[in-house]
Amino acid sequence: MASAGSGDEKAAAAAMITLISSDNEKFEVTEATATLSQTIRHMIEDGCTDGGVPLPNVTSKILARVIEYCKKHATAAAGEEGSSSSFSDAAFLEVDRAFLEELEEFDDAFLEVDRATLFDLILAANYLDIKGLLNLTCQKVADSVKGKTPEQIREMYNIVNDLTPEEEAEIRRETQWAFE
Amino acid sequence: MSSQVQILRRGIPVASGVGLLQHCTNVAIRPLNDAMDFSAKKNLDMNKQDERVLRTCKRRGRRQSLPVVSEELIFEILVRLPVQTLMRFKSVCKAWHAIISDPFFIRMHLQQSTHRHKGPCFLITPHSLDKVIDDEAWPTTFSNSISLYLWQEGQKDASLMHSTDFHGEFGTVYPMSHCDGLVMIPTDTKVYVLNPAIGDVLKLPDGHKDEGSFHSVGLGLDRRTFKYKVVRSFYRSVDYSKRTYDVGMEVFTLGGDDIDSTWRSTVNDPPYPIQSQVPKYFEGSVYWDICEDLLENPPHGFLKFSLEDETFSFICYPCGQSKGDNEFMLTELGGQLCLAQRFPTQIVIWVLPSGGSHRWVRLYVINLLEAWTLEPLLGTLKDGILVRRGNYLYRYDGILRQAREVVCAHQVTYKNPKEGSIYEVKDVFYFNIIPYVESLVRVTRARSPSGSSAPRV
Repeated sequence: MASAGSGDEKAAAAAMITLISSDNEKFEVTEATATLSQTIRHMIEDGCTDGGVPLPNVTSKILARVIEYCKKHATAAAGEEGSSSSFSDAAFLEVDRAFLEELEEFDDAFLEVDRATLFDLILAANYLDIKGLLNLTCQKVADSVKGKTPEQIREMYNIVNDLTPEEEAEIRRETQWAFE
Repeated sequence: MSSQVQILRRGIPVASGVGLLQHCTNVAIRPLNDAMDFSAKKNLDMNKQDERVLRTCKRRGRRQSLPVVSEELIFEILVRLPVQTLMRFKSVCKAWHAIISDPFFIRMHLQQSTHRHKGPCFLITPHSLDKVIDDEAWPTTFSNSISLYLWQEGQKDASLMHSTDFHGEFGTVYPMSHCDGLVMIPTDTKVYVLNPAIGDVLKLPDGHKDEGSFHSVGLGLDRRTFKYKVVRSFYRSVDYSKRTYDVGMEVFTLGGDDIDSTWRSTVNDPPYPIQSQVPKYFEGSVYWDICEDLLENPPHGFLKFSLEDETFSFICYPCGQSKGDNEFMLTELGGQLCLAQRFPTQIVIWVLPSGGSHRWVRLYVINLLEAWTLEPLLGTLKDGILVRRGNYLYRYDGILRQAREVVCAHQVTYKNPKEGSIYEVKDVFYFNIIPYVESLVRVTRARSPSGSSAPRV
């Protein structure tokens, strides 16, 4: 945050972005945090973030979580810079590992939410175009449906089976081994 | 409790910058410090655009008690699932069947699949002999029952993925190769390509008659057409004593549009004789060793065959070196094309930087006794490089300069989870061990739910 009364205040404030949730809550975040979202990055590039960025599709509850994620991963992204090569200098490897482990723990804890919140996070990640968060949340849903039967999936997600009995029988015949 | 989830398609909110800006000017300014209100307020005054998008969604369901997501997000979730689950989910509904069968989905799924597993996966195929004939350089009595087992680093067991009996079609199996979930099995008579994850098997038709001693066959992806191609070198005639040869190259496109796909000779023959060996595939090209025995003044390098334009080019060894007593071996490490130059107690790893460069850069040295017997398989400096020697895999730690045994193929338990049986390894003559990533890529033509084309096996 900006320190009071100094000349730096303006520079620091300029790097802050205000995000406004659908229910008009305001969140002030650093540009580094905000630009994990490609959507916001483009808005910053286009210079249309003065007066705040309204996010009419994201509630304050979800936005708070999204910002929590972005803050953590913005720090991580800054730390990882320059060590992305697969054959990076061995001296940095240990630091890298500890860093990644901490991040993994954060992600695991972050996903401890109910299913409705998880889907809200997916929609927000998609809308804000935050690749890491979209990957994390979609993988969580994928893990929860792994190994389920088509019947269970239709039940879970209110999907109407529009295959004709013949079509379904044909598909089942071809993929029978996957049910064994 | 219900969650009202708005339906969005990527791009629409971004494209509506004007709308967002208008919205911006109407926002009531509230003090920043009361921003952290965590009560679950829902955005009830959904804007018109959202309503429009909501109406365009195909499977909205009843006024829902469960979240409804767009097809795009269903794609994002499905693409992260293993092959077996996806094969089941084909019969959920028409839309899911269409997504899972879509070539673009299959490609994206493969990309995800590559990153999904923490440890590397291998397919291990134990080969036994039907009988032992003395004095054979390489046996001609391989069992025609081929079983591929999936093994992941750290596991004691490998589980059966796919099993096929080829009923006496071949006598000898050569080293297999892998590309994007497809496995190619070259034999002394036939070449097979299969996707063990979906149980799809293709027996390729016979190619040009080969006067050489060994099928030199490569498998890879033409990245322009996204078709997989099998490439085969053959000798119309060859005489090693006189150093005369007539070498050719032919291509077979998998999943071609013609029911009767056939081998097609390349426009130009290879400029050099091809060494009878498994070629290396990397990023759209197949790399062949040149048969030096057939040349008086062999060039010092490899032959690269592009699967896109089907032309040949020449890649020099590093620093103009000749092969000499050292052995050069191409391999893929950390997603880069590498060249392992093997010395008695050292392997020097060279890398060909991406971007079409033809200059090798010295990357790394493995210092180990009897290094010349090691075959680098995969890995990075970060995680250690996996090397194979005989039936053993080792992981070489570059910091400690040590190789640690990862697995011995003979000591793995080969299980058939469906039958609960275990494969007896005591009579195994040879193990094919190939790095593997599961995929949905088909080798036979896909069938639509009402389609009629039959797989050719």
